[in-house]
Amino acid sequence: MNKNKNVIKLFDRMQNIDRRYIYIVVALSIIIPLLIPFNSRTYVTKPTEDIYKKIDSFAGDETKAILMSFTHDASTMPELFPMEVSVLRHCFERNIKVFTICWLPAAAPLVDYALNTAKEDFDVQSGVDYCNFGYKPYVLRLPIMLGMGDDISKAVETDSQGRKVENLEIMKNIKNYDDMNLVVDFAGSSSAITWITYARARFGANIAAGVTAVMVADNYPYLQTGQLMGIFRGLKGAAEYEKLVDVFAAYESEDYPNGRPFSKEIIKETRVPITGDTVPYKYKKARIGMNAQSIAHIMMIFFILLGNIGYFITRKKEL
Amino acid sequence: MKRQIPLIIIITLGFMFVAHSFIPHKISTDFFDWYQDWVKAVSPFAVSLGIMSLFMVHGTKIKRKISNWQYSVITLAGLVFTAFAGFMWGTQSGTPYMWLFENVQMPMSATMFALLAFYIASAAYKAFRARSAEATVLLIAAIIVMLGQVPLGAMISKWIPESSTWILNVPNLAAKRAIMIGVGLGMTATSLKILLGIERTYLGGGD
Amino acid sequence: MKLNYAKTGSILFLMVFGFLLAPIPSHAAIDTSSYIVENLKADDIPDDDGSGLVLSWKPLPKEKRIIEYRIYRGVSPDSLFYHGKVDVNVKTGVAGDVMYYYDSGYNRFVDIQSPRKLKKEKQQSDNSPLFGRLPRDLEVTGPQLTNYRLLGVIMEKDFLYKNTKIEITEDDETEVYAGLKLRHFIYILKKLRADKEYYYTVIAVTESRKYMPHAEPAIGIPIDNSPEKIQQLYSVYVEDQTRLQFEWIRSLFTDDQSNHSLYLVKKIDLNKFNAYVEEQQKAEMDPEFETTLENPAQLIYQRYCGYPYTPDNTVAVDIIDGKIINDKHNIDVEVGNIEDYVAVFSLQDRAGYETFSDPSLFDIVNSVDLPKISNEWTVEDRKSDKGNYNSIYWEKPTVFLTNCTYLNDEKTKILVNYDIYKNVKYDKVKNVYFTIFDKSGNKITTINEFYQDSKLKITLKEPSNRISFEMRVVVNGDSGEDQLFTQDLIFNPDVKSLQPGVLFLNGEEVNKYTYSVYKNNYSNEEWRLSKNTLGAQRGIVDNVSYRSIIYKGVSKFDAKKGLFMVSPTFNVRMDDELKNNVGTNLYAEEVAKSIENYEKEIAEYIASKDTLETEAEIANADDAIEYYQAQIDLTENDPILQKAATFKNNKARIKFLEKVKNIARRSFKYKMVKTDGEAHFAISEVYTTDNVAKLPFDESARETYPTLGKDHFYPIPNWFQADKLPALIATFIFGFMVLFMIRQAKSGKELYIRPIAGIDEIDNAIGRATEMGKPILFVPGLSGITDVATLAGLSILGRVAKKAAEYDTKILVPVRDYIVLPIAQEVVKEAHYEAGRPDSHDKNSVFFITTAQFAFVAGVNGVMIREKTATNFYMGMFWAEALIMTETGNTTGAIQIAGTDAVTQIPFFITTCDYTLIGEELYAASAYLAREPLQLGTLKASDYTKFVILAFVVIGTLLSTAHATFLINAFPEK
Repeated sequence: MNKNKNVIKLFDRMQNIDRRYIYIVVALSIIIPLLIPFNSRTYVTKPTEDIYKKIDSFAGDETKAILMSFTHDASTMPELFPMEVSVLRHCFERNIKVFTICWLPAAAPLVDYALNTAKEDFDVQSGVDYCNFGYKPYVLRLPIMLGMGDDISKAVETDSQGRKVENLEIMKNIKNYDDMNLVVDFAGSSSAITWITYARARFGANIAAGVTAVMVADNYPYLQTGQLMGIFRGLKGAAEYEKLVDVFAAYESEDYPNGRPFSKEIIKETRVPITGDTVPYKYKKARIGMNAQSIAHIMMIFFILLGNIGYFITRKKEL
Repeated sequence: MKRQIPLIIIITLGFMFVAHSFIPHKISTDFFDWYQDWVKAVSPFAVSLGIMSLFMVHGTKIKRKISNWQYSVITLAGLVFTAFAGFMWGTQSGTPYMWLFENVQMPMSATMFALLAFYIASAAYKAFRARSAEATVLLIAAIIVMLGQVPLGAMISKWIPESSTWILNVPNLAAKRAIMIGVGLGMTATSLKILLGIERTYLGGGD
Repeated sequence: MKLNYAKTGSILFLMVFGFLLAPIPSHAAIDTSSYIVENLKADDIPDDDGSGLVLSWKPLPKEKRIIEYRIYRGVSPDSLFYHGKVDVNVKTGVAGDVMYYYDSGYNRFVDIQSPRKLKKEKQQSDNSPLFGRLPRDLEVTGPQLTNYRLLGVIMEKDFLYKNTKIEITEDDETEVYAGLKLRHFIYILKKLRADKEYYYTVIAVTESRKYMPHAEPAIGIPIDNSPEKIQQLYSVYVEDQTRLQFEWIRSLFTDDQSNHSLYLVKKIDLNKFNAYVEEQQKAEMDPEFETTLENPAQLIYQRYCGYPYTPDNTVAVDIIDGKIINDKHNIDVEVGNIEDYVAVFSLQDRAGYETFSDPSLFDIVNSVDLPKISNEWTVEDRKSDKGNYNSIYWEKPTVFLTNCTYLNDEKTKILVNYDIYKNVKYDKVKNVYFTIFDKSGNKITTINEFYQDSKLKITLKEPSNRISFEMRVVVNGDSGEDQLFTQDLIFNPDVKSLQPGVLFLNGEEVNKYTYSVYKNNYSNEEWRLSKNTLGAQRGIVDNVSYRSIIYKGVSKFDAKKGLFMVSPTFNVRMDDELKNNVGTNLYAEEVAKSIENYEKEIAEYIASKDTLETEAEIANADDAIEYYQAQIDLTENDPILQKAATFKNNKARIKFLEKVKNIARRSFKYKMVKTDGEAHFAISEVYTTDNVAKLPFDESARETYPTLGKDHFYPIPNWFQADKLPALIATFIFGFMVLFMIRQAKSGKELYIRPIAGIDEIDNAIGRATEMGKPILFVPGLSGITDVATLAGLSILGRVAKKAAEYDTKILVPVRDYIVLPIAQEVVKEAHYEAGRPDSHDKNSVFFITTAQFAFVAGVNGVMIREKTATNFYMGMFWAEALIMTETGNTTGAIQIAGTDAVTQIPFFITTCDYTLIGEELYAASAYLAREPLQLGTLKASDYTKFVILAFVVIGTLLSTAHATFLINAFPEK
């Protein structure tokens, strides 16, 4: 009897638990998996896969390029940065021309950081294999977005190093959205929608978004209608892309010296261990982060269930 | 007169922009570009308003030694020093300004953003209670979507990620679209009220 | 030590700013000599026009923490100007042993962003030769003009109307120039001069931005080389048409090219030809070398290609009666048995250097082996645009499979994706019929896609490694009976899945050929590439830019007046035979003088002919005489120039010329080439039509351009965007409803509005704050004034502030956008006046925090905690920060009412706030609070409009379920 009372008392207390206890549990369930990585499965979902396939279809094509638009600052970096690095890595592995542009002064160092992180392992040259258009003021976003529909080198004029864009070797065969056919916008908001209304509706560019998990739901309607051809769903999306790059783009064999084509069946079967040194840390950051996220999610579910059990027990007592 | 002139400007320009969105002609786009150039030129001046306000609010606090006035000193010193560093040494990488940006501004914003994780956790803990039939549906949906996000979900059953996608794609989108249509209409109505001079609060004061 | 706020504050202050001092000690004495870069070299870049040098040096080790290398350039070692920099990642350093910097092509010389005065470079010794960027100061920059090849890039309007006429007399000869201020140039670009000495040096900049001493300057001399060799030439002989066809892969660098030439070489002469090429290469390397051999190849085709656009890379040459004849280039070649020949392609640059391709053997075919190009193609102005696109489209839509995935583990359920290429004429697809067969040809199923969602779900009896599709597209006005597409899904072991195979149309492989659309205007003889498309594609749009730019060499300056001088001549168009440019002068009085000059030149050439010896020199003189004579004829007889001469006022004359010039520049004729990329191609005729569109300017232009609208197409700007018609109609319906409902409301009719709990509670919430004697917090969203949500938030602020003023309760309004700030201040002030409590208004109650999103939140949270606000309102646009604010508000125990149209934030508000206005309720709030007929009328009108939208959604769903897609198709797609 007494024991039962104690249990009820405990659940009673749980009902009005000081939120700081929850904070502590959340903190621990995030920190520990980050410090001690373990292998877990990464299931690749369609929205990420679609982006991968689209980018991969430009592999080795001199006449195609992608644009990465950075519309975020450092605050959302943990989620977005691994996406950016893996997309860049994909491009460098598979010889895909890539442009970067950013709209906030705070994003300029992030673009550099992402480019520097990814290019270290590759023999790529600015102005030839990739080109950073650099920071362009947000007020110019619309004019540049529209201008690129006609002529990129006129709309952007100079790159981050102040070079004339039209003189760069990478611009050979790249004129407007017909060639720079995919724009991936990385943001902690729904800023990809502006790309949809202008770059897609008017010029037929393909638009994809890399967003933080909280903003995914906001972009969903556009994904369903196909206006967004794909989306990175927060850290999970980044982890999926990391795996895709590991399994296909970074794959090397005699038949496929520069990565192999995408296959849904192969990705289903393949596991990539993230413990050990096979994959450099910078390319598995999101997957390690996902471990933490998974544990935190499970903790949350546990808490919610606990809270509900407590709720039922206390309600029963009241009745 | 004080009210009428701004109203006239708003109504004429407002209708011109409505027309612009239906007219693709060069004259219309040139007008829009011209307007955008002016916006670019004028809007930076508004920054001074913000800075003035900041100085006034915190200046008064410091002068009157209102409780916690020390924070105001830090705020103002931060403002002055960052601006000074920018003007003095430029904003290239390697300068004190960039140093402040990379080592103060960036980690502090990231920290604030990271707080979300904790707050979402505690909000979820409080919100998801099976108080009624609707709340129970919400609870179950939440658990399925959360499980769908993590590998554990797929390990339990492959239906979990699929149901999670279904929940996001169907009921979630249906509700969202309904709200969006309402919001769209609300925006149009408010814009129309402004265009017709019915809504004038933004000119300061009600009527 | 007990901490109070003052102490905590000072400690924090010291901590933050103490870090700033940290990098400073690192400035202290370090041995700078070890920071000088070594192995600095400047080498010529091959294959260019003598404008490129590549700098290389050994990068400093990672430990030196270098952040950038700065490059300086000059024509003497004692004054070197800043030219550019290479950024380095401090953490990773530079990977290789050598760093490169390319100084090639046109790059920035001076422009409006250049500094005003010349400055010595920072942190260098007093006698250092390093200077900052070349300044706008013409005294300094002007003399540098002669050291480079300069190109002024000028907006046409500025060149035509902002110029100043300047006459310079030197050696009794007066030259006229157009002077332009620096601001009239978009930019002035420079290129290195060939065979001139340039000096370069490099300095390293450390992480703390310390500029290190410079390296010993290196000398570089750019050399003009022959152009880059093309990768491959393909040659085809069409036996039944006695036609030679050539196609080549364009070279990468096209900056310095002036001619494309094709030669025939007899196979027996190949050795001779190779010897000739070798000798030419030697001559290029060594200017002293004397050539003795003659080129055994016969020129059969030549054309100009110095145009800054992608040129045509296909050529067809007809052999008529065993001969190739071309008068323009004096070609008259007899051709024997084609099997005895090989073809050679050459690129010539402006200096006359020539690069030959590898010889290519002829592939002998008959015309049946070549692709057929359909006559069914159209060029027209693209509808509903600004007037900067022409649209080119051909044939009927294509359908093809793009992807296939298994839906179950048994691999019997598959999802097949398809896509359709449409064009302007056939833009609405009614049905796509898919008939699917298994490996042995048995029909599996037939699918009618009346709504094309690009997806087919197919169930198979058993897993298969080959499935065949027959596809047919029904479009508006065409049943597609004559177009049967077939494509297979084939199992690919590499990807372990079915993959789409080759697409066939009526048995012909669709993507074996590509289409290239070429265009040509009145102002240039050369055809340029508009676009390449896949064989499956059915149309393109061609951009015809409005922006008109003039490129002018800049060689002189006037420092006193601050002018750069360029030549005042400009071209209007080419004559009808596309042989000569019709050119004129900015200044009417100079036109007559130029005729005198031409005559003088002719006289001089005729006089010199007696002294000339070689045939080449005489031919050259004849060419020059012919050219000048043609110029005189054109100036005197060309109808455009004649008409221009009739204007009394020069400005009117220029206006007329500008118009004519623009028509020439923006009117294009088009041709199409269908090719397999290896010279098996078919070239269409130039597209012509009798259906001439109305011009956007007066018809008199047709006198000068008789073919305008028939073969040359000028894009027409439109006054209405047709696909926005539904939006326009909806706007009218809505507007009408608003007016109607306002009348209803005014006439005293009771309009019911559903109670909204959040709004009803506003008064109570304010009352609570009053009772507690604590302030109210009102956040009008985080977005700017252009966001309608902010406006809605502000109008609620007006009502709340008025109530608060009435109760004499303090209201705090933190603002993130500085344009919103004065408006919010005015709103609150006005509310106090209205409530009759101007005395209680504190102008600092509405204040700016910062524009940084999360810093703003930190500020707001601080206010909540310190001021212990009793009631918090959040009305407007919020992003990820919403929950951080409301959770904090929740902990302080405040009553919270939120309203937002940010759909993603609504769940957070609902869980943490007491009341939430969802979406449109935010907009309704001000009407709800005001209860005026005008406001209520609009609110009611939007309710009814919503009903109309709902009706459309329901009807549309029902209709399309019943295969009637006309309603869906009536709305724009994107």
